[in-house]
Amino acid sequence: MRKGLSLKGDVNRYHDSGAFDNRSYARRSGSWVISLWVEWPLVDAAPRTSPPTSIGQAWDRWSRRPPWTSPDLLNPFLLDLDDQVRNANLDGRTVIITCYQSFPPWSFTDRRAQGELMGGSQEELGHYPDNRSSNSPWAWWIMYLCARYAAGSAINPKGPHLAVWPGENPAGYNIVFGNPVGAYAHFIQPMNEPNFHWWPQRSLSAPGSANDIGCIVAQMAQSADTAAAWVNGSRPFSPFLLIPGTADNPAGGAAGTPPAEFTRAVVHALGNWNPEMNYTGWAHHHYNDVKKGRLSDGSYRLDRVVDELAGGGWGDDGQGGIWLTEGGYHFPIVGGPGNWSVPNPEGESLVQQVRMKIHYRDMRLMGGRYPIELWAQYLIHDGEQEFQSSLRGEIEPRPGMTPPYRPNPNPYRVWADWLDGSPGSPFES
Amino acid sequence: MAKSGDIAGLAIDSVEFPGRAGELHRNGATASLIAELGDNYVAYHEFLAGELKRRKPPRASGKQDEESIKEYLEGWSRLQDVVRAEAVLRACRNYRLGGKLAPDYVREGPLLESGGATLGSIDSPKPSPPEGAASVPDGFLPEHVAGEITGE
Repeated sequence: MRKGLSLKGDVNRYHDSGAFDNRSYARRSGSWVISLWVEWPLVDAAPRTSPPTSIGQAWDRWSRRPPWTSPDLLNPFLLDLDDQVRNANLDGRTVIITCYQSFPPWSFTDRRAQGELMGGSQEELGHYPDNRSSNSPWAWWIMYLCARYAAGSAINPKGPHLAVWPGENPAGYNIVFGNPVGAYAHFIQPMNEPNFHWWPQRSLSAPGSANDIGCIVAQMAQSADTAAAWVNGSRPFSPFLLIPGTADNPAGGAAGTPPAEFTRAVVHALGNWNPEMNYTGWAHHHYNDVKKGRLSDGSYRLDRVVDELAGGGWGDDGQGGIWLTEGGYHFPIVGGPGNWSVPNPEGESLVQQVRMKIHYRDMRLMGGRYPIELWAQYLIHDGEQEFQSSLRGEIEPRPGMTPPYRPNPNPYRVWADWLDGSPGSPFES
Repeated sequence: MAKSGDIAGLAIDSVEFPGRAGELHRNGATASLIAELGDNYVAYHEFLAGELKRRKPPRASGKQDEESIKEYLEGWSRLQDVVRAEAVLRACRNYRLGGKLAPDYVREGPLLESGGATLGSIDSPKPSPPEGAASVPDGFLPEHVAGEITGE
């Protein structure tokens, strides 16, 4: 089992940036997998009235920034991601690019007036795209990411695009693949918690269907596979896919589809699907199992998901084990915007440490048909936010500030001691 | 974005059903189309199974121009259309049997078999709609379509 960090937000960037120390910490802590995030609506800031009309236009737009006409004005969000991915490459880390749960406003139709429901934890831009086919802007986006971070690409100073730009001299590089710093990723996680953060969970056309969001996700998984396979069929190597990034907390209704029910829907809708990519991992999150521990019968909630995977035939054709791509100890929190805080931080830090340790150990020992390939901790630092689960506690992104780390016992240090396979690891005995 | 001729919001795009279903689809007679598909699952399933065999999975040709990429993606999209049409077909059948316009993969079995090479089938006797099966769930279909089904 690999040990990893899922790093989102300014205070978790994979850089050597002073107080945050994320890059050196990842190295010191033996966190061999780094998941970095990308937000499609930030990369594509076009208004609702301006959907791309072709894949060529879309890729032009994503490599550049508004007004999308100059070959020298490149997309700052992706340049920043390139740098972080490159740092992780230089450190020998396995890199996952995770797509945040939001979509450009031009990609969907808001039907709340007609009765579509948006749950409490879902954002305005969390509506999944209307068009989810292999030849949809969403598939173009996943193909774009695969092309940008394909291993074996030469440095592409402009980022992927399909036709030479006016004034561009593409001597020495392939315009279709790569990025300006030669960064590459091993995996792309194209969906994040669709059973929780996407809306609607039940569409107007299938209001009573338990497998509605599962059908949506299954189709998008196939489209993503098609997109990645095209890149892989060309000279560079595409990142593999990790799907579907299931949230483990929803209880049902508009607020989300329970993980086992959702898993059943996805694998059955995928039924006997043989991905074009020769490896596709099953991505799942593990907050509840960490925080609440085993159920009364001694099993974990993940065991229900495993049952559904087996029942639906996942793993029969080119599909792999389980990647716990995001989890950790979710702190109780009080306050409001600008004033969030964790009550009893000393006690909670101790509980966090113990819970993480137990779950990490148990997952490492879990065998069977679906091995646990990754256990990823979500965040080193928390921003000022309602959801906190980091190792180090809240930190304001102010230059020169000494971070107010969580008090001892400090999970930040404990996590660093959990070096897989290292002498003295608590999991060696 | 919902397209004209969608069946309850599910686009079947490049699939054109033969015979009466095709005619109803072209005319936008959604409610009648649902009934036609739902009452004749076996025949339309056989058509779709043939379509899946006819539409070969495209392979990346190595060409990296926009037209080649488009052709590749469109080829896969057309395959997906067939599979989605099977889901629509099952949904229509379920609607005629029980008033619920949704596929149920867990009960009915997978859409694809043989590693994706063939279309899965459900053993389907011609359904006779139970009394009340034509009732339309709230907010489920546009009013004019709901009216067509219920005869109001």
